[in-house]
Amino acid sequence: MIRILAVDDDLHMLQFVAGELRQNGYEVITAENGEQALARLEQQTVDLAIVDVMMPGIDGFELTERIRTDYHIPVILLTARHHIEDKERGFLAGSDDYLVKPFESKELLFRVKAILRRYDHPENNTLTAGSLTIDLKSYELRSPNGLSFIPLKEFELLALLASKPRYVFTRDAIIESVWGLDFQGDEQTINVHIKRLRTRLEQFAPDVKIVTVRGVGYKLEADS
Amino acid sequence: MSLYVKFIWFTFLTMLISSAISFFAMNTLYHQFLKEDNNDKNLAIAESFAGHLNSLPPDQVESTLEVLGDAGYQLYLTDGSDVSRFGGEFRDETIAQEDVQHVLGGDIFNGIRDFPRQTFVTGFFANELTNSIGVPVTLGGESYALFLRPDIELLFQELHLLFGGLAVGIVLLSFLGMLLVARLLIQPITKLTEATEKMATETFDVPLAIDRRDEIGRLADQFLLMRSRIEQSTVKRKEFVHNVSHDIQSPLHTIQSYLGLLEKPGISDSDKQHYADIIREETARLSLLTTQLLTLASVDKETPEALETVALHEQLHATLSHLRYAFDDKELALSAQLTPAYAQGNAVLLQTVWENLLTNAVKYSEQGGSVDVSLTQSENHIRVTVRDYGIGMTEDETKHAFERFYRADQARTRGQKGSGLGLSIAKEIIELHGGRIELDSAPGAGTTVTVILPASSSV
Repeated sequence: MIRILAVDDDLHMLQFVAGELRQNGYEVITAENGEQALARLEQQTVDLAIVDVMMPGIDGFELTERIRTDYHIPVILLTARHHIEDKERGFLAGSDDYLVKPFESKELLFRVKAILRRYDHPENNTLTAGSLTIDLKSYELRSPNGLSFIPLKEFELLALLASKPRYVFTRDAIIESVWGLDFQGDEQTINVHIKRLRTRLEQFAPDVKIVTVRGVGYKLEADS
Repeated sequence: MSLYVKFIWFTFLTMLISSAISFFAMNTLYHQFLKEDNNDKNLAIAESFAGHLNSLPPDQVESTLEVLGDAGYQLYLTDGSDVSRFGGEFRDETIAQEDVQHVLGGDIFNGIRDFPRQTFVTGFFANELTNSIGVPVTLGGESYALFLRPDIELLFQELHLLFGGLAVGIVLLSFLGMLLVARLLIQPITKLTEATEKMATETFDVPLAIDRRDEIGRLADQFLLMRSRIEQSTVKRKEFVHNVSHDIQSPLHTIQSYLGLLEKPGISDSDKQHYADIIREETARLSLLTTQLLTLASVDKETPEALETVALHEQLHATLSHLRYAFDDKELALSAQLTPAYAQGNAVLLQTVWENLLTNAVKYSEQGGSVDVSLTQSENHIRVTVRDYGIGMTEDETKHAFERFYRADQARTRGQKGSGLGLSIAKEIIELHGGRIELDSAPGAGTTVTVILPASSSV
């Protein structure tokens, strides 16, 4: 199980963060200040730290520095200010990610997942199809048309198809791989995603096409 | 002390001091240069008198001396013991017996030349025997000493009056003139002061009829300009506060009402969820509004003077990555063409612009839509476009889009979280950087925002 350390001197915020993470299947340990956080880190191994910037004593910046140098784990900073000042900016630019309060739990989970994903692929990990490059680490698409971010599910669908070019994936296989076994949606969902993906590819990498194989499923083809 | 009193004092003091300086200067001039000339002039006259008297028969001497006295000379004739005076007496007749004896012995007494220099006495006017010319004369075989000097009082009586009148006239008229000038100078200042005092109570309509071409005129012009600017900004500020208050109040009211609904017994779970969603939306709106207000405050505070070279392609990429959550939430795809471009500016402020434009694009896009971002650099300009394919705006809405608190079509976007400040903040920041921002939109077709910034030469 993935273990996350949450550090915030605001107890309401700490409870909120920890609660949301626990509900989504993470193990969470908490600390109310920098000293406590460092003590916790000595006792247990942690995969990711979520650290509030404004804390008395050891503040978020200092704590992040120490976590980085001593433990080499990713850190997400929480900042109260929308308008990020110079000193913070340099720091945040170098941090793994940051979140501006107030945020919804969805956003927190999204960023946690994204970071853990990045740390799962330490080397550059890309797939190519025609003019399209799929970056599995940053979840970005690249083509001569530039750079593209597409929604997560669409990305995963595309990456699945591109992992075996010209191989026909059945609808069931796609649903299982992208949405998981406990998928509750209907048949339409996959149709909608395929349709959107086609429109996006038409504009972004026109040489790459998703072909419907009637009664079976889909495959990815690229003009050579 | 009012300016009037000061003016009068200054005038008075100026006259006093300049008179004193002139007096000492002229006195010095007399003693230094004029005394000698005056002495020689009177010596010539005295010698001519003496020559004439010497040749006169004794019975005519007395009458001649009287004529000379009447003609304007003060004469003092002595043989060493007896004295006779013609043409009035000297005010001070002290003279050294030695000097008299010298003249009796045939010498000349150069009293005017040798008259001692004194600070507060004008040598020219001193009616003293020592301030005269003494020449020897022989009358009826006897030696006499004749001392003379022109009777200044007699000769210059009218001149005294004339000069006195002139001096008094100059003084009085100067005072009057100064009062007039002071009045002319002080009046507009008084007016300006009154207008300024009124301004402190936010009264901006005090008429100010000052039409002058001098420094005071310029001051008045600048004052009027400043006053109208302050008036404008005051009006704007009040409007702003009004808008902000309204925008804070209305979500609060909604929250209160829905909290009331939530407390009612026996509401269904779906209703509960619905109410909670509304409350969440409204708090999100409030939170956004306050952060935007903070941004606005810092835009007003910060200037692009905190100049640095900003790698826009990197900054945009980072911003896009950071906003990925918002894109994903609405299942939007984003394509970006970012060619390297560098601008001079304040990185914090520019980042705010990109965030505002992108969150707007997300906000007005349909679920599953897409947003295109491009960054290109030509020789002189950097162009950033953010295009969405969302609900778009009418021509009229486009026109007002940059106004603070304007939100395109209140009814349609109700429930969209937005502060109505994003675009106006973006515009302010871009203009601060010497660039411009344009909107191109059509209902149903989406919106394209174009930012044009001057290109930086240094890379």
